[in-house]
This record gives sequence, structure tokens and C-alpha cells, in this order.
Amino acid sequence: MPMARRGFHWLLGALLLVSFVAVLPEHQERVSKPEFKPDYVPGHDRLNGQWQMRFASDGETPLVHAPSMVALPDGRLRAFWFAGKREGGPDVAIHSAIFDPQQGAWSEEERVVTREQIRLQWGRHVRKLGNAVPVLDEDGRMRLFVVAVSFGGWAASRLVVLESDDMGASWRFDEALVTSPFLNISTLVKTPPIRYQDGTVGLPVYHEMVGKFGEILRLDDHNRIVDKERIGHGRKAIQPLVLVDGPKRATAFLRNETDTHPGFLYRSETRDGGGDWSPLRPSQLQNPSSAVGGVVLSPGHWLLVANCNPMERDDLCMRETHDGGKTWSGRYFFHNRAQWREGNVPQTEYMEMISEEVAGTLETESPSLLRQRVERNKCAEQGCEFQYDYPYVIQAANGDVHILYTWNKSAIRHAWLPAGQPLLGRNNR
Amino acid sequence: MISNLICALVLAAVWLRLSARLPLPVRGGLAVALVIWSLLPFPVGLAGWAMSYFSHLSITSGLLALAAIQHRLRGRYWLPVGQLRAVCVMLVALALFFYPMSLGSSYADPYALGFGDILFSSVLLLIGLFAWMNRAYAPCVVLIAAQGAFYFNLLHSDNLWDYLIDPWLVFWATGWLVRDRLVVRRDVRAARRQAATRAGEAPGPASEPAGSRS
Repeated sequence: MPMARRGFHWLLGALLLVSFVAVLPEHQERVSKPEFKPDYVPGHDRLNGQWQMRFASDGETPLVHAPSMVALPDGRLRAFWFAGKREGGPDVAIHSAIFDPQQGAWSEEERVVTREQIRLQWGRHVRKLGNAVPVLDEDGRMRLFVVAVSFGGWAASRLVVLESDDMGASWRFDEALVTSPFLNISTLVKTPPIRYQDGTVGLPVYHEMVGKFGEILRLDDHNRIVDKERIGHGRKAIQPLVLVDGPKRATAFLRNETDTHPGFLYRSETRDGGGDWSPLRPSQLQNPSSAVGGVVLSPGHWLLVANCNPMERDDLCMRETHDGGKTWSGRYFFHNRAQWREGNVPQTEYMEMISEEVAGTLETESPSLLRQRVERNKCAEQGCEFQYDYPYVIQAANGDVHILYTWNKSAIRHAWLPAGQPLLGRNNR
Repeated sequence: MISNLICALVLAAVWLRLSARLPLPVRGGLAVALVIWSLLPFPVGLAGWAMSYFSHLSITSGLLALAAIQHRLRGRYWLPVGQLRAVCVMLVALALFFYPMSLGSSYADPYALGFGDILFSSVLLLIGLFAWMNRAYAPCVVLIAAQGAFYFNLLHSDNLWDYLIDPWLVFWATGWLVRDRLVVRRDVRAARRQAATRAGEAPGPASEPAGSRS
């Protein structure tokens, strides 16, 4: 063998070894032995307050959907949702508003992220925007994970990350996450993030192209994906809501997408910090294949907000469990239009009921505009339908429980339960 | 930037394949123009649009595109056909379970291994060493380039699989294997016909089938 060829041979061999060493995972331990960081507020698991209902959106756009929120360090809330003329329309953007519990009022609605902005900063065509989920880091940086679609429908979704240094008022594009080997499509977000002891963030995501299943993406400070764990497989369930009870224990509830066994939520558990999730099994909770929100108040004590019937999205209730989901009580109905479920509601009666709901909402700026929006979105010639869905639930640092949900596709409604007196002497964390 | 460059190279390789009947200066000139057009910033550049739909391409695709461009412009295939055939067979066999499992057909998710896994890296090393010991340098170069690009996050993906394979590469490998079989069969038939003709003219031993291409 000539000298040059032999040199090339040994150079390649050496480079093979170097490249092997270079790509070895830096922190194998944190992937192999993950630990959650529970974020319930110790001593604040007693619910004895009075719900207050407000609208977070102004009725500025004909359609709004998929709210999410994050508690700011000063006690306020920042909410996000997508809004435009119609779902998937080119004008759909991410809107935001701030709730000040001291004032008991929402700020004016603002458009904070647009399709055009992501398109230009990413350098890729963006056809439409969808769900957005925020994460507030300890250093004050806020991240927003947004569903962006370049072609086709929601099944072709990709996730992009934006960052903000002013608590969500303005955003810059950071990167698009690569989450799937097949054209990097079909990854969506909906439910709140979870945290790990090592500082990584767990972003519950779901796929709905070939398979319909949930996953948790673990991201570090630089939005690098360090691990991915699957919750379910096949074409069964999406939109995993992850309730963290302890460093190793969590339960996920998922929206049911099967045709063969519809009408209830699926659930899955982990006992090793999310390294492995149990096979999906039906929960005892009825649900019409719609999104679920929830929060952990203390280990085993959970609140779940969802549609509580197997048929329609015409009710919205909060269920409570004190034993980790073995038994549930129907604690509160925000809406219940079950008696109108059988057929479309005559428009006059429907609008009267909508007017009552608007009247029962504090400080509504323009009730007539909201009624117009509802009429447009939910009424047709044969009658009208109620729709209350996509709840997003958090517990603020002071123990208050906040729920945002889409109200008849026309407004984002906020349910606020101020915390009761803390239970002294308890340390649940 | 590297993603755009790979996309530009693949587009140029496809163009050179499609324009095989045009004079070389025209094909080459248009290929250069295509690469430049592809590398322009979005929304003017072609690569941004292509990747909006096709997503990014792997390092392997980029290297194969380079080899294909060299082949089309210089007329000689740089890659040994035997090695290319082996890589294509491996790619297609891998894709048969990799994509269905990664897209949710099972709880096991091979794609998740690409975010950092000692076992996965070790398997790649073994494959590389096997190729290296057999003096099959093309797979070695692909592995080194892909892992190096992954280390420097050149494709803005945190998953090593994205540097090694992509669906378009698998489609191409499938097509190449089909074409390879057809070409081999055609060569065998041609050789048999030739042998039969010779036998008719002057009886003697049949010649070996060609079975290889430039």
C-alpha cells in the first residue's frame, strides 16, 4: 500500500474515533435518570374562594382560540392565544394581554407575533400559525413555542421558538425545533410545560399525522432537545396534560382520538421521572375528544378542567381528586348546556343565553360586539351551538387558580379563583 | 447556511441529471446559477422555499449530491458502485422500521436515540470500523462528516439521525436500487445474447456478464 494511501486509511480511522467521542452525550445521567420539579404551591390546596369570570380578549378579531398563560414574577398573568378572521387564515397572529390581580382587570389585547414576522426571521414560508405555549425562565427570559405550518393542515405543523426579554411584550425568532425525522412535520403544543430538577423544561407535544400520540420534549436553556419520551403510540390520543406529583411521579391525561373507544380521557403514568410511561388506559372521566387542562394542588390532589360529557363541547366543568385520580368529584360547572344537546338551539333563545353569560362576566368592554362574534361563529340557518373548550389551567405563586378557555370561538374567558388562606405548618413540597 | 448549501447542491445534482442531453457548458452554467439562486436569502432564494416544504436534507444527501455533480460534470463516478449499493440496501432496510416506529407505530422510538445515546453512537462506530477495515471509505466519510456536523450543530437539529438520513435520501436510494437491478438484468441479458451470437458464429465458452457501470 502506498504511503499516502496508508496515511489516508489511518487518518480516517482516527477521525472515526474522534467523531464517536465528539457526539457522546454530555450529560447521560440526566437523560437516564430524570427527576421532575413539582411546581404546586405548598399550603394552598384548599379551594374555598369565589370564582370570578372575565374576558381576556377584546373581541377585536372574529375568531380566537387556544389560550395559554404564564404567571409573571410580579404576580400578574400574561395570556396568549391565536386570533384572526378564521382558524388557519393568513391573518391569524398570536395575541396577548396582561391580567393584573390587584386591579382585577385585563389590559388591552395586543398582537405580539405575526406570521410574517416568523416567516422573515426564520427564512421559511409560513402559511398559518396555531397554538402557542409560553415558558418563563428563572432569569426572566420568556420563551414562546408556536405551531407554524408551511403547507397543508395542522398535521404538517412544525414548532418554532421565540424569545422575549420584556416579559412577552416583544418577540424575536430563535429557532425551529426539529422533532420528527419525516420532513419535521406533525408536532403541536397545547398543554402547559413541566420542569425538571436539572433546569430543563419538559414540553408536552403531540403528533397527529400518521400516528396520534403524545410526547414530552426536554429542552435545555438554549432550546436544545436533550431527550424525548413517548406517551402512547398508534392513533389513540393527543394533547397530553402532565400533572407532576413528585420528582419521580406524574400522570398524563390525553384527549381521546380513537373511533372505536370514544367518550373518555386516556391516562398514563410514570414512576421514574418520565423515563417510561405506562401504556394508555381509559380513565373514568368522560370527554368528547376535546382538550383538557389541569393543575396539581398537592400530591394526589388535582383539578381537571374539561368538557365533562362524551358527546359535545357544550359544557365545561372542573373535577377534583384527592387520591391521585382513583375517585373524582364534579366540583364546579362553568357551563352546562346539556339540555340543549339534542338539537340546534333557536337563535333567539341562544342569544338570550349568550347575553346572560356575557352579563355574568365582569367588566365586559363591548358586550354587543361579543354577541355579534358569537352569532357569526356559532349560528347557522338551522340554529346555534354552544362551545366551551381548550382550557388552560395554572396555579400562581400566591395559590390563585386561573383558567383560560375558548368561549364559543369568539372570546377568551378567564376564570379566577383567588386562593384561600394558606394552611399553616404544611410543607408539601 | 449549511442546510441551504446542501439543498442547493441537491437541486443542482437533480438539474444535471434532468438536463443530461444539453451541452455540458449550458448544463454547468445553469447548475452554477441554480446554486447561486438557491443560496440567496429568503424569500428570493430557492433553498428557503424548498426547505419550507421538504425540510432540511442530511449531510449524507449533501455528500451524495457532490458525488453526483462530479459524476455528471466529469463523466466518472467517484463512488465505488459496490459500496453505494451496500449503503443503499442498508438505508432502505433501516427506513423500513425507522420511519414507522418514529412516526408512532410503537412505544419504542428510534428517533429519540439521536438526541444523544451511547449505545447508538457505539453502533455507528462499529459500522464505521467495519467499513474502515474493509477499506470501504465512503461510509466512513459519511459518518465522520455527519457526526462532525452534528457536533457543531450545522443543520440546527439536535438529533444525529437528521445528519445521517432523510426521507428524500431513502426515496433516492430505493430508486437507485430499482434502477441498479434493471441495469444489472439488462447487462446480463445483453451478455447472454452476445454469448449466444458468438456461439452461433463460432462455438466456445460464454463470456461473463458485465454487471457494472461507469
